[in-house]
Amino acid sequence: MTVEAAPLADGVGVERFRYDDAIVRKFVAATMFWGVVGMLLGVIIAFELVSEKVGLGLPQLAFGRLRPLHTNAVIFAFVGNAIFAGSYYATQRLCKARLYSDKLSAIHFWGWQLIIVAAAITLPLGYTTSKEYAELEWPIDVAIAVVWVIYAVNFFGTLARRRERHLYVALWFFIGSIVTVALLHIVNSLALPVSMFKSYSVFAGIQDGLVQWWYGHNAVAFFLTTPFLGLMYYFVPKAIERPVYSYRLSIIHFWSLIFLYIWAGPHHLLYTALPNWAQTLGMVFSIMLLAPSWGGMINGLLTMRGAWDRVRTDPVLKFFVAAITFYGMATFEGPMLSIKSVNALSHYTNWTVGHVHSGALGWNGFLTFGMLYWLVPRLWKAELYSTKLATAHFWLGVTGIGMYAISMWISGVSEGLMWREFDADGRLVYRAWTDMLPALVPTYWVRAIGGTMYLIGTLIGVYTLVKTIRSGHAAADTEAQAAPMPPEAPRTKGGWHHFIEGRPLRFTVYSTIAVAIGGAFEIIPSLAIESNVPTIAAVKPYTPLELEGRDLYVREGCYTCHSQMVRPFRSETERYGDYSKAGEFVYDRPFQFGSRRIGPDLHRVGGKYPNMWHYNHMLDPRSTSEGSMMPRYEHLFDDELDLSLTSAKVKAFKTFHAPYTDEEMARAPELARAQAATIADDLLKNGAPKDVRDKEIVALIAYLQRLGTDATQGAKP
Amino acid sequence: MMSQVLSQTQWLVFPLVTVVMFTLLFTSTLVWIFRRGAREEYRRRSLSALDDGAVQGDRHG
Repeated sequence: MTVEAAPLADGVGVERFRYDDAIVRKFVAATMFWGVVGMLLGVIIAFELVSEKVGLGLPQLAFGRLRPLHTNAVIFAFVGNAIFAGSYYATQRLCKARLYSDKLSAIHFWGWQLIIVAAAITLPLGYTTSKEYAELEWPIDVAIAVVWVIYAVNFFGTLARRRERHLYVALWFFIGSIVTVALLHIVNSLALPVSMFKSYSVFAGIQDGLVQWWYGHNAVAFFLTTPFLGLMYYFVPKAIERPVYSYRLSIIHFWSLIFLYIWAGPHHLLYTALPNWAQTLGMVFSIMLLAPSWGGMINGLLTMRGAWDRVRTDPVLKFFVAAITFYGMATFEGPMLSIKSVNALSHYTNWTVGHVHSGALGWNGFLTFGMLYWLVPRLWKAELYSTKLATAHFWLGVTGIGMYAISMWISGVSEGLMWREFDADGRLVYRAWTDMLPALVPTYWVRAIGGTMYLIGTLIGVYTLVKTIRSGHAAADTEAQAAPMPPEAPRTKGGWHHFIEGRPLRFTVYSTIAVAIGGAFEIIPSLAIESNVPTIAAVKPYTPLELEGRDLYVREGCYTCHSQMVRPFRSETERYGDYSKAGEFVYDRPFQFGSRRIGPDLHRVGGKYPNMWHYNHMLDPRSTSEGSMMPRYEHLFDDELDLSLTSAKVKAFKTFHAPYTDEEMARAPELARAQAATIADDLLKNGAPKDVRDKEIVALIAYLQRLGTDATQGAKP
Repeated sequence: MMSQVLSQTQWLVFPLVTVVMFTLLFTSTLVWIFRRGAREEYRRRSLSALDDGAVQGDRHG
C-alpha cells in the first residue's frame, strides 16, 4: 500500500494512496464467466423438462443433479462474484482507503473460485446434502466459512483504516450481509460427517426444515438482496452523478429490512407439518416486509429524478431502472405468495419458480449487468465497445424474463387448479399425474425459449464487455487522496444514528442483534418445545438398507421434483393418502419435503405399488406412466450397492438417539443384504429379468416402500 | 433441568414483545430522522457516495 503525505493549503496533511482495482477486475471477469455457465445450466435443465432425452441418459446430467448446480452457479458464482467486485470497489472509495490486505484479497478470490470448481465437480457426481442452496458437502462448507471470514476480515479491516468517519448507507448493507450470511451458513451446515463426502444434518425432520428455510429464505435476503441494495445505493447515484433521493428513507429501509427479513423463512413451509404458530409468524412478517422493500425500491427509482431522459440512451441506466422495477415486482409478489390462502394454490407449483427468476434474472442479473457496463470502461480506461450491442442485450434480457415469468405464472396457476379440481361426483378430475402434462408442456417450451433469449443477451453483453476490455488497458490502480480521518464527533451532534454511523463495531453489533432476535425467537422454540413434534410410537428408524436407499434418493436429487409432504387438503389426501405429521420425520436427516412438484408427492408412496412397479418405473418411467418426463435411472441397475459405510451411518444416527439395537449396529451390512435378498427374490418371482440383490436399485426400492407407512399404525398423544 | 426450563418457557410471547419493541423503535426513529432542521445534515451525508477521492487526471474511479 502506497501512502504519501503532503500538506494541504490549510496545513492539514493529505495522504495519497492507491485503490486496489486489480482485485475488482478479477472479480468482474469471474462474474462474467460464471454468469454464462450458470445461465447455460439453467437453459439445459429447462430443455430437460421439455424432453428427458436432453440429459443424454447420463446420471451426471440428469435434472436432479444439474438443478442444484444451476442454482449454486447462479447464486454463489455469478451473484457472489458480482457482490465481491462491487463491494470491494465501493468500500475502498467510501472509506477513502485501499483494501486492508492484498494477500487476503487474493486468497479470497482464488478460494472462492476453488469452491465453485469443487461444487461443479461434486454436485454432478451426486455428493450433496440436498438442502437447497446449501447442497455442498461438509469439507466445502468449511472452506466457504473460511473464505467468508477472510472476506469479513478484509472488509472490516478496510473500515478500520478508513479516512472517512461517516459510513455511507451502502456500507451498512454490506455489514448486515457479511454478518448474517456467516450466521446462516454456520447454523444450517451443522452436520455429523461419516466420510469425506457424506454427512448428516444435526437437525431432523420438521426442525431441519425450519432451520433450512430460515437459511434458504435469508440466503435470498442477505445474499441476493441486501448486498445488492448496497450496490444500488452506491452505483445508481454514481451513474447519474446525483445523491440518493432520501438518505432518511435509507435509514428506515435498512433497519426495517434486516429486522423483518429474518423472520419470514417459515412461509416456505405453509400448510406443512410445521407448528401453526411458526407458519403464522412467517406469514405476518412476510407481509410486513412489503413496506421496507418498497421503501427501498421507491428510494432507488426516485434517485433517478431529473435523469429519466438519459434512460433512453444509456444502457447502464436502462439496466438499473429495470433491476429496481423487478425488485419492486418480486417483493410485491413474495408477500402475496406468503398469504396462506394464496400459498395453498401456489406452493410446489411453477409460480414460485417464476417468482424467484423474476428476482434472480431481473433484480440480480440486471443490477449486475448495469454495474458491469459502468465499471468495465472505468477499470480498463476504455470507451464502451458498443452501446447498440449493450442495448440489444437489455431488450433480449427483458423479453426473456417476460416470457419466463408469464409462462411460469400460467403454468403455476394451471397446476394448482388442476391438482385441486373435483368432478360433480367428488372425484379428482386429473387423477393421473401425466393427465396434467399436456397443459404444462407448452409453458415449459416458452420458459426454455425465454431462458435461451436471456442467455443470448448475456453472451452479447459479455462479448461487448470483453471487446471493451481489449480496447483499453488494465491501468495501474487508481490514485486517490484524502485527509486522515477527523477526530470523533461529539455524541450529541446529529443524533444516535449519526453516532453509530461513525463506529463500525457498534453498527455491526446492533445490526447483528437486529437479525439474531428473529432467528432466536423462531428457531429456539421449535427445538425446545416438545409438543411441536408429537411423538408417534409406530415411527421407527430406517433399516440399514432403507438408509442406504434414502442416501441414493438424496444423491439423485429426487427432492428437486418430488415433495414428501402431504398437506391437509382434501385434494391432497384424496390423491396421496393421509396428511403428513411432524412426528413422522424424526429420523429424517436431512428432511426431504422438497419445494416443487414436477412429479407427484411421495410421502405415502410406500406400499402403494408392488416392488416390480418401482423396478419398471425406475428403468423406464414411461413403461408405467405414459407421457412421464422423468429420466431413466438405468445406472442404478448396474452400479453395485456400496455397503462400506452402512455401519458408520447407523452409528451416526445412533449418536442422534435413533433407537438402533446393538445387533443392528454390529450387523448393519449383513441386515441390509438380507433385506435386499428378500426384495430381489420378490422381483425375480414377478418377472424381473435380472437379479439386483447387490445393485443400488434394491436399496432405493426398499426406501420408497417404507415411505409414510409407519404413521398408519397410529399416533400417541 | 435445562431442557425442562426450555420447554416450560413461554417462548411465544417473545415474538409479540419483539414486534412491539420494533414498532416503538421504528416510530421513534421515523420521528427523529424527520425532525426539523435535519435535512441539510442528511443531504451532506448522502453526497459522500459521489466523492471517491481520486486525484485529478486519474479520475476513472
